[in-house]
Amino acid sequence: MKKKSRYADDFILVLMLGPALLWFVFFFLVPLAIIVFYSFCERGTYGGIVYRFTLRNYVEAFDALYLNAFVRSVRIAFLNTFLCLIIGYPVAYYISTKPPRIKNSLILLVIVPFWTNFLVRTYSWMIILRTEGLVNSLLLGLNILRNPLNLLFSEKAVVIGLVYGYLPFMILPIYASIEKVDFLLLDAAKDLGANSMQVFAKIMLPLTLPGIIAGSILVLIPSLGAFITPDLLGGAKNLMIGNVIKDQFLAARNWPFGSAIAIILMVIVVLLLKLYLGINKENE
Amino acid sequence: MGQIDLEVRNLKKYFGSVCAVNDVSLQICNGEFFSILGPSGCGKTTLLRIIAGLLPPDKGSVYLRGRCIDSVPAYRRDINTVFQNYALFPHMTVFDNIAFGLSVKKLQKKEIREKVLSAIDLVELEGLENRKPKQLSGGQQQRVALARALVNQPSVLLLDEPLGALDVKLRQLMQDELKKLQKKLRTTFIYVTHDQEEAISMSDRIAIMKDGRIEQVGTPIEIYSRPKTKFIAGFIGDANFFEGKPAFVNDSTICLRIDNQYAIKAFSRNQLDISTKVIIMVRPEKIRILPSFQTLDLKDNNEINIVNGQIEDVLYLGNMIEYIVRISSKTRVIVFEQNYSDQSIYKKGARIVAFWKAKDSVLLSE
Repeated sequence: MKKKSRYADDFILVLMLGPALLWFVFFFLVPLAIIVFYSFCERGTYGGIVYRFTLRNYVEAFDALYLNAFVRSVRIAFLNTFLCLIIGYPVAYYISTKPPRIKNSLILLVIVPFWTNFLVRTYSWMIILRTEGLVNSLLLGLNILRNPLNLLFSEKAVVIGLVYGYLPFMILPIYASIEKVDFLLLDAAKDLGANSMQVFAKIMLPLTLPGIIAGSILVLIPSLGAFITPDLLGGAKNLMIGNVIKDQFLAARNWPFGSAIAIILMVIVVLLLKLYLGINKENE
Repeated sequence: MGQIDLEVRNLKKYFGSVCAVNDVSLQICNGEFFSILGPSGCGKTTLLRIIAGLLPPDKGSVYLRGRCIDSVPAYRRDINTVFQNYALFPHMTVFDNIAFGLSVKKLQKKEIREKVLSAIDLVELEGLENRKPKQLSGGQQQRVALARALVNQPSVLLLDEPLGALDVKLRQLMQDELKKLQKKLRTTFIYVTHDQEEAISMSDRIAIMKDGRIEQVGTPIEIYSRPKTKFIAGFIGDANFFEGKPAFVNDSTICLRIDNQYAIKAFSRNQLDISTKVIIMVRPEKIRILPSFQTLDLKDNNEINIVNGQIEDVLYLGNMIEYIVRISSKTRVIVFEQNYSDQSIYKKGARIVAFWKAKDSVLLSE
């Protein structure tokens, strides 16, 4: 009797987990395995894949050109994460101090940009940043500048575009963690003699650290592999690793090499995550 | 009483159009255990937050030892608070919670350690230094909150319903301990509560608050036996009320006729007008019950109010017995009698005589 019911439990478990498991296997593990497999193959003369084992793709990836793209990607991704954090935290804090109805509208405003295609929004940044664009016309019109700024097709433009695109991913988790903090604790800290800086450093920051970490991961990882923003706003000189991968697959038709770079990027991400979570654990 | 430690003058605070604190003035003496008692929503917590500096008043001022502290921010006030739900920092250990006030003032590590350990000793939390608040019981959390405030040696300690979340037994225990602690440290305590018994048993003086106003300030005895208004009499303990226009008035005595059956006497210090409505209040435990007139010694019956009645209901409360006595078709009174012996309980429907001393009739204003 007991055994039977355990089988029944197992059956229900498989039934419930089944769809997710199938999805995970066919749309995540299998493609990943294919990419790993390709990365050890040779490229055919006219694109395509020759199924012969080689390590050349990985050796080539450490060429100065691609190494630069890796370094630039990591630098831009961290800068982007840092900027999102120092802009997003005050915004999240401000929202959480408002009464519930206003709170919900403000959160909605944070999410609203998602309703428009990311590509279209990035194009609109081109219009804003270009030499005859909104920023320059405004600065020239107000006589603040004599000559227009070269904003578009620079690393600055890429960072602006990325901060714009990923800011909501920072605001939302931080907002969620601030919402959980009992604001009476801040009163208690003040009452015990802590000034505003100390209240923030000793109470608010440690209690919202989980939100900061979650937000940073959500911003850092996708911005490492970003390719639309650097493509449109960065021009030819500011290649990020995402662009390299895209170009290898589409323009150069070198799938094995593209796969190798994608795998290296993934290893970097996993290592960063491990480092990050390790720091988090120490803090707990 | 000694010198004045804390004084508030004409404090006012509005939330929207609601006046949470309405023209409150209080003087609290050094080393006093002062309670602010009132039903929930009467503005007592708001008053406390203004004193702590966590909420700016719309009008009025706060003085600490004679110095106006209106412009002093909360973190510089020599006042600490024990919050209602303790507000312990969940990410810190018991030790770090208690050390918080000292460490933000940048005291030496060694000095902090000494002070924190003696505070832990004071509230009997030895061995729990490294626990997180979540791992403590309600009573233990309460002690941490207390130690965290007291370790700073404030001139005035504010306590916002500190025992509200504890069960009855633990609450009584903590009441005793708090009182002893206060006696030992001689710190001025301002204690906010909605529990009348707690206020009466612990306080040197009590302020009764209602709808943002202070209704009466006095010692527990004054408040209980000489309440000024019907609200206070009803809020602090149980009370019987008799209302009407007096039948007879002279310099010291007033007579109130009830249902054309009885004349109830009370003493008044000031001359009253015969045409103004009066309220007489009698505490249920001041009324005695006897089986008949014969058993009553009427030597000084001028000083006694007597009514006939029938027991309508009997409530056995263990240490006491509550009788509900109908004395006329319109009026009932409540009588508490000490449970001397379980045999002496009057039965439902029994005809009895109830009496009380005229000096126990308290004249109230509306």
